[in-house]
Amino acid sequence: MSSKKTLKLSSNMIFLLVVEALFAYLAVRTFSYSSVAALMPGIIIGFILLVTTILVVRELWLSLRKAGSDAAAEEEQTTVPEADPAPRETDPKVARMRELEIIGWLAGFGLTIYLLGFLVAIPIFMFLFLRIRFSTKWLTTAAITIGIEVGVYLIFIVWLQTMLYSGLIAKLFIPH
Amino acid sequence: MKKKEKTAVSICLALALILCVGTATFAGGQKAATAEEFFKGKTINFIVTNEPGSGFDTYTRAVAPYVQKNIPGSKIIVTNMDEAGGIIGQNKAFAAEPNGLTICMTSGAGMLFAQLRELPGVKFDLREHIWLGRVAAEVHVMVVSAKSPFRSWDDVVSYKEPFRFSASGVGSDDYIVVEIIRDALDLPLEQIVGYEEGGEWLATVKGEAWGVQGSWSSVRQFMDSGDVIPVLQTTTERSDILPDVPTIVEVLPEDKKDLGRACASIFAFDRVICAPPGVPEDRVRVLREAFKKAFDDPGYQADLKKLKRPHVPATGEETETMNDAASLCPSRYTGGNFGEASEGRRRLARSHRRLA
Amino acid sequence: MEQLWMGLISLISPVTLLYLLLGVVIFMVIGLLPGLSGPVGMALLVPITYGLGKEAAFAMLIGGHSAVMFAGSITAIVLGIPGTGLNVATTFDGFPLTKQGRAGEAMGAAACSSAMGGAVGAFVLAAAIPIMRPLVLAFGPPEIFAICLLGITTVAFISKGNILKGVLMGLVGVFLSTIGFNPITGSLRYTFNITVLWDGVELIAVIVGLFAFSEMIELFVNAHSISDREMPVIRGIFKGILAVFKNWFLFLRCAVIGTIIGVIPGVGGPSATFVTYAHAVSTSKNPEKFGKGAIEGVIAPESANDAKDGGALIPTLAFGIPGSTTMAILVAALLMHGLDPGPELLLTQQTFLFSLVWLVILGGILGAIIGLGAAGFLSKITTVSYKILVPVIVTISALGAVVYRGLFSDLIIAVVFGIVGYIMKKLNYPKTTLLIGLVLGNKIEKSLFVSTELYGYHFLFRPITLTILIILVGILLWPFVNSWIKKLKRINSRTDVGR
Repeated sequence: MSSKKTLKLSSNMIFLLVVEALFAYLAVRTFSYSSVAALMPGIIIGFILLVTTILVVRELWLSLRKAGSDAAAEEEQTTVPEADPAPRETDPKVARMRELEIIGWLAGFGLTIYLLGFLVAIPIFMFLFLRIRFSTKWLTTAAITIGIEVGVYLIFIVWLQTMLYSGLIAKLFIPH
Repeated sequence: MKKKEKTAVSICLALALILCVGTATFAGGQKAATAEEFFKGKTINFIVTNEPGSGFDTYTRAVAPYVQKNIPGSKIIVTNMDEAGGIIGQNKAFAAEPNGLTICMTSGAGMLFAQLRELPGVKFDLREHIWLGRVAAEVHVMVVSAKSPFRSWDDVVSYKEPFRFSASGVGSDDYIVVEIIRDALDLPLEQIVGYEEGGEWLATVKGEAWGVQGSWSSVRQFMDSGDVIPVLQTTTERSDILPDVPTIVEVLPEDKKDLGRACASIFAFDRVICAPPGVPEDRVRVLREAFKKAFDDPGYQADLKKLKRPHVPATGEETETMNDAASLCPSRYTGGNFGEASEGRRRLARSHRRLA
Repeated sequence: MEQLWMGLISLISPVTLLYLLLGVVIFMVIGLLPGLSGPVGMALLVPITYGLGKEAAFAMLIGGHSAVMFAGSITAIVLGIPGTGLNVATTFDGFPLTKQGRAGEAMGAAACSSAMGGAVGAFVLAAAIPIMRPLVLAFGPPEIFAICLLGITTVAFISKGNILKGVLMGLVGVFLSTIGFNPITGSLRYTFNITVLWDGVELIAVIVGLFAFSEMIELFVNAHSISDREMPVIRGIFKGILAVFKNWFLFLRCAVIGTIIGVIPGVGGPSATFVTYAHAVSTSKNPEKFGKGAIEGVIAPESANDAKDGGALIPTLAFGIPGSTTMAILVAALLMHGLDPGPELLLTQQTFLFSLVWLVILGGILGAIIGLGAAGFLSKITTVSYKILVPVIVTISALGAVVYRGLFSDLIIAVVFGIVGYIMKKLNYPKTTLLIGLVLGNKIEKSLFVSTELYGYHFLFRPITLTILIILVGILLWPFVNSWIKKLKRINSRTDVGR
């Protein structure tokens, strides 16, 4: 229980310290702007640093308090609007793995779009994700992949006539 | 299961490869025999460095179908790229593959000022662009509020107290021209910037500010309603639509008249179309011809009438010379950090501030 | 008065009504795709309406636009992804309702408030046609500043219990809004030589990242679908519609506030939704229920965001000065059909103007009906397995993020914010206040600057500005005053009893 508590606290602390450092750097940057341009961001950054510091201090103070149940009660009062009514807890180790995995998927998808363009990347991504990763039934995979691809093509290319990003590789094949 | 997976992945990768190669052979192709043949079946990307609904966008969408008609087999898609004041779009048009499939409608004046001021992020050079034509040049007019004490240019010049004009933002071509006039005649004028879309017009109508400069199409409705009075036009000669309004060249002192002419020529270089440098001669010819025919097309002219947009075209060759003339505007008025200059003025105005 | 009915009659032609329907359906589809908001749809549809007659073209455009508001609300409620900046406030209570299995109720309330809110806005528009000019001219930068400030106070309300974190994120949002080209001084701020940051951080990319991507990350990591519970949707919808009538006074107040804010060019729709949400919270008998699934939290912003369209049409029609980007495109469409916005239009084309009013109403109603018709299907999405939902939503969102400006960098921004949003969710920092800050920050700075330039600090004492600021202080202080009054009553009653 206490290890969980410290883990949760240090995540928040790390986050706050990163924010503090980032805005300290931006504050320095702000000094190089003219006084009119720097006024608003300067004030905002000032307040950000102030609030962050208060939060950091509060974190420290909370971690010094011994009673775990008190801290738990306090956390409950600080839920924010988007909190789930029934919080779902996954084993932290599994959660970490999955976090890295999904970020990998997103980054990979993004990279594929960058290289091959939307129309090529989408079916690749859908197929790999649905079929390879989760062994969805062939029929379902095909239906969704083809459905989305055709839908995207019809809506964006035929109907709206936008130019979908076509990737770096496509640029190699431009007619001369 | 593992074998199945491997097969699946390899099929997938093969598909992707086929798609790529297919796009290549289909899109790449051999060199076309003539320029006209080249454009058959191709899509031309017509970039507009302005947001949808703006004057530039309206003209582009109006002229595009007629240009398409005159390049048989082609298809034109209009893309808006108005980020960073259109600079990103202009960069793209400059760096695009010079095969004739990318053209760009842009604000000659706006881009010229951006280039002369050496704004960060500018990666184009208007002198190197190939010019295909101009759809229109608007007269830019300085108007004063009916609620101000001004009724003519003489009133403006003889007013000795500090007064304010409204503007949407530093860096717009209208803003810069007003600054130029102010400095040349040493007027106690300050431009208030920061208004939201269209807010600067309301401010002048209300009398919050005493004047504003803008294109004739923007000004017209306020002139018609009597809310504003035109006092100056940024042209070399008095236009037909405003025969009683003095020109910038008329009001500037002898030693500054060239400056006035430069400003006017910059605005003559208004709504222009360009192609990236390096497009083969014959394709440029096809494009210029297509635009010329489009301009002469009665259908296009009728459309413009419906849109209440003036039809003041120029051919590609004429636009090239305009480009050369406009580049002569002395950079000391367009360069430098406008922010600093304005701040001094602001401090001056603050000490004379009065409640509107 | 006669022209009011003439306006309606001019719409009754099969062609016009067909185009109205078409517009509604098209905009509904566009609005459902996260990231593709009203302006994009308008921009793409305007050229298509070139060849159509006046009535048909505007039937399609305006009618459809009303529909896109509701479509954005659907995704806000069902997926927690606001379709546009205008639907952000709907997620505050709409999404929690979905997670409780009450999506139908939320959608019913949203549909009803939207449609009726649009009607209120339209009636105000109709009533205001004679006084449009002076009405619009009464507002200026000081008023814009006051209203945006009022909108920012929402931050305090939705981060109840965790004010510091909420305020921090709000401040970060405001900071983000300063990134880019600053029209006041002509200088660039915080762009680090990245040209695409010139216009700042694109709102759509941030919305897609913060709400769509981060939500998908969360679903994937915890391996569940959006909601486990299913409640009969049809019953829910009626319950939702009923709730609007039960809260009719709140609805009316919010619709009127929305319309008024819509009239002021430059303030923007999102402000209207934030202000009305804050208003609902502060005037509620149990404010704690907000943010956890209070139906009033859906009614308030939804009545405002359609009503504001009626309001926004006023400056657009009176001056050709658009109340929003969508309106800017509408102006272009007006010009294209030979209709010059301005006093001429107000005097000579009154029938047409009234038909526009009716279009706003009809479009809203039609949109609500069609949206609800799809409601059953749509709420099933909440129970779809994450294995399918995640890739589909990621794909559609990625498209939405990029298509708006056509810049790949927006996708990068979206992914970054997706990750940041996920972290924020885990550490209990509100995402929504960041968005509020981002939407309003820039406007506050510019309007404050212009106001002080014009009037010095006296701008605070202009009548309308002063009124709004007093309201603002009132809203902030009301909870305290209220509890203090209650305490006094308790003390009084105790002393009474004691005697």
